[in-house]
Amino acid sequence: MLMTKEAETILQNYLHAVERKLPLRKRNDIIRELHSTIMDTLEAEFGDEEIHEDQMSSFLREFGSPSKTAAGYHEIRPLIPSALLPLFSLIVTIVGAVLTGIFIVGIIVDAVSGSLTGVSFFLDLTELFTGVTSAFGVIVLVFILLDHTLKPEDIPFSRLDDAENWDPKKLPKAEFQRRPKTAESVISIVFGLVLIIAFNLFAEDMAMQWSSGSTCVYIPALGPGFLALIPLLTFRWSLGILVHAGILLRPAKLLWFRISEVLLSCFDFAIILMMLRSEADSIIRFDLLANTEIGDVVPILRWLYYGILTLILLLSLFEAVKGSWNLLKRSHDLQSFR
Amino acid sequence: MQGAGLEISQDSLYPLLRRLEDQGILKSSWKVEGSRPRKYYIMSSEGQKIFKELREDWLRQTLIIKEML
Repeated sequence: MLMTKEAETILQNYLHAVERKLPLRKRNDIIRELHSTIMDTLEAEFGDEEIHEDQMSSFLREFGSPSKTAAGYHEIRPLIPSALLPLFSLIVTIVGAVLTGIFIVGIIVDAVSGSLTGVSFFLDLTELFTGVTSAFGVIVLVFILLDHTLKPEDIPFSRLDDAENWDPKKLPKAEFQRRPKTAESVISIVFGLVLIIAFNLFAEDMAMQWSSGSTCVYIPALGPGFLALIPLLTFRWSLGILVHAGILLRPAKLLWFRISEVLLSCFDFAIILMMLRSEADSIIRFDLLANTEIGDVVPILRWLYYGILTLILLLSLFEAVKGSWNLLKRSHDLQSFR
Repeated sequence: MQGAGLEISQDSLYPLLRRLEDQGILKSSWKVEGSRPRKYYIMSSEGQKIFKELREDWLRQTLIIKEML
């Protein structure tokens, strides 16, 4: 069957929109089956005729909105119905932001008054967690009650059924087809250049500095372990600049960009792993800080250092796995359905 | 089904087939025939047993209704 590139993009975006609303279990199999069914129906309707953007769009409008198509596969009714989800998200965001704001203000007040210790910080953090979870529970209960007592259209911000108002051409682009915005690439290039210049020319000057009475305390921030990693980091940042410059100059080479992204995530993973395997003091000079007046917070700073590195490590692993999965899925789809 | 006069939309049919598969009434398999793979559903032995029972029940019910009418 023949279809234009634009028509194929609309179909991919539609399948992506349905996929996002499907239950996780058997999601891939459902999408594969749905794609096969749509292709069979298109073949029956258009035969050997080439399908254009408008034809695909009107076909999908008739086929059903992504919400409607996905709804059939949900065996259990969601706790918060989709019509109430925008209002629910808004309230959860506001409550979460207010509680986090109170927590931050509390920490600042403690720090200024000099009563901030590692123990008090963790106690405040526990209180924040308790506050957020109990508030979330109360909001969920209120929405379950609303769902049973009011009609969704009577509630502000409720999402009306999109079955009639949706437009296949306006669906969000499937992950694989999403091109990075020009601003995104430019920022990545500028940021990469700044990092290369800063760490290659001014690494020795990066220091923690403050006044203590009549003396000025000056402690270099980067340890020998980090300085030894600078050539490798420079290589990584240069590759990042090349990849983003490449997609700016050749926007059509999206597959190469996706492959490069996966390889860069693997590179990031390896570098962070190397940093985690080194002693924290050889990367950041926590050992020099321990002998100063803020020596008490050094264990917390070390904990934060390992926490942040572990988080970045997991994120880069997640990005690498997600990118590889999208590439494999894309390659499988092309083999299966073309 | 459409040929027999029973209209069922695709967004009802395929989720229904999946539910029957989850209940062990149907079995499915992917087969590549022609240009792309297609999923085929067949009745399992348990499904055939249930189908027989339901068919007999349906025929009995229709007979009763027919006599009533």
